[in-house]
Amino acid sequence: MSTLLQFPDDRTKAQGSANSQTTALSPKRTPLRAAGPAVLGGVGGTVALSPIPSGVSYSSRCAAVALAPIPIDLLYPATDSNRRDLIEALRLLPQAVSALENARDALASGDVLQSDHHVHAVQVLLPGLFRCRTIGDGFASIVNALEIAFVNQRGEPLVGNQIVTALRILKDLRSHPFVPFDAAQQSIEELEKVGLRVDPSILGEFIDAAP
Amino acid sequence: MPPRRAYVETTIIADALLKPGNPKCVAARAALKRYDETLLPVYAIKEFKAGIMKHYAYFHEKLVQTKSLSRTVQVIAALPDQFHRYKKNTSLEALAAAIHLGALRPSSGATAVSADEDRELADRYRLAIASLLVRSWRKRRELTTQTVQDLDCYTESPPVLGTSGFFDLKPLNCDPKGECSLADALRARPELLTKMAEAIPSSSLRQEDVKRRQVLRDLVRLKKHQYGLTPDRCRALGDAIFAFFAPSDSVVLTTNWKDHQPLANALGKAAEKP
Repeated sequence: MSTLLQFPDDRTKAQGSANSQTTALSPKRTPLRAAGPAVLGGVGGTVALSPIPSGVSYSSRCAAVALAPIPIDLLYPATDSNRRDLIEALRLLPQAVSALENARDALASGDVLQSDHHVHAVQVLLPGLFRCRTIGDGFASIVNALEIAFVNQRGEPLVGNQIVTALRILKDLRSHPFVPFDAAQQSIEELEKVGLRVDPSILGEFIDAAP
Repeated sequence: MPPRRAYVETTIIADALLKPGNPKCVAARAALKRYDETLLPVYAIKEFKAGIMKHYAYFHEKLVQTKSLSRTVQVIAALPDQFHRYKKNTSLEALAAAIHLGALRPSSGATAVSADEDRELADRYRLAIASLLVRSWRKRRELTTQTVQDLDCYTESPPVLGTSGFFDLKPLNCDPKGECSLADALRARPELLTKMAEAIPSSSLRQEDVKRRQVLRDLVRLKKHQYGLTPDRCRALGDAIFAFFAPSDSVVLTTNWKDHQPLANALGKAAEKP
């Protein structure tokens, strides 16, 4: 989603206006906590709103707007039915990303057991992520492929490029949860290219090629 | 020693692309590596899509419709015998494996699947099949060293997952202007067509054998204006197409060796299995 973090003009204006009046956000709107401080600059991804005195420069006002909590439904085209799943996914994905980063770092320092331990932490999160599948088939397809790949490992630890690839894909999914199904297949092909088996082996048992 | 060449038949790409993790997939891919050159005719791609891909798409469609893996397996198992390509005796195994996938959750049991779990499994398999279909189509031309004999009358369109959730595999057939683009080449060698017709056991009452023999004979017996090679007839030729068009210095690589071998032998060629 290339438009991520870009506001349409009318929404930017509305946000600015809300800030200047200090009434700001509706309490029903959910701030993007899961995107994290890196995006929003505050602990847990939220920043307290304070009144902006009159006479404050335009750039300062813009900075204030940039620091304001961004309602999640402004960022993503969530509907009522998938908003809860999106919020849950954006809570789980950073955990998965963090665990894979730890796995990567542990492996880099030669600690295979610790690395595998962190990968297990990711594996445990995947069923919960799959339950967020109302977000879309692209999202669900990637999570499903990852989970199948972990199952197909049959306990064998992931190697370095497998961890790095899975990490990159999950980071991308965190940024682009509404990935279209076709685009998601490219991510799944990347997993395949590093030797992860992303298909359930039982599929071939259903149907025979030859009569 | 001349390079070893294989003319790759549909069953090989089906096993290699659509049976991941299965021993047949491993065997097909290993077999392809035995040869210096592997030639995939576009006719095989056409059969691949109209055959096994269509069956997978049907399975996918049932999962979309029923939103239940167990119900889908029941529906497949109840299909009439002519849908022999669906293995019916593996339904329990399939369910067991499916449950295994969900067994990461402590609540999952090997014997009972709740309605929610059944629906989740249906979604998992629906997505897995859809993903496999899309990726296997993308890889179809990467499997062999060459793709050969493009068909003027056939468009290789990718499977499209529609907004309805169902796959659109069209076109499954050729759309010839007049008749199949292979027709002239076939008619130019009537003696080969006769040899292949004679190689099909006359005692065989299998529908595909009967049809193939008939089309081969009619192509020899009847003039072009009397007997066009329609998409149906082209499809009926099936195995005979591979025997006919395989280069003389190649072997037909197929898992269906039993059917291909007599046809290939009739033309002084050979068929090999993985």
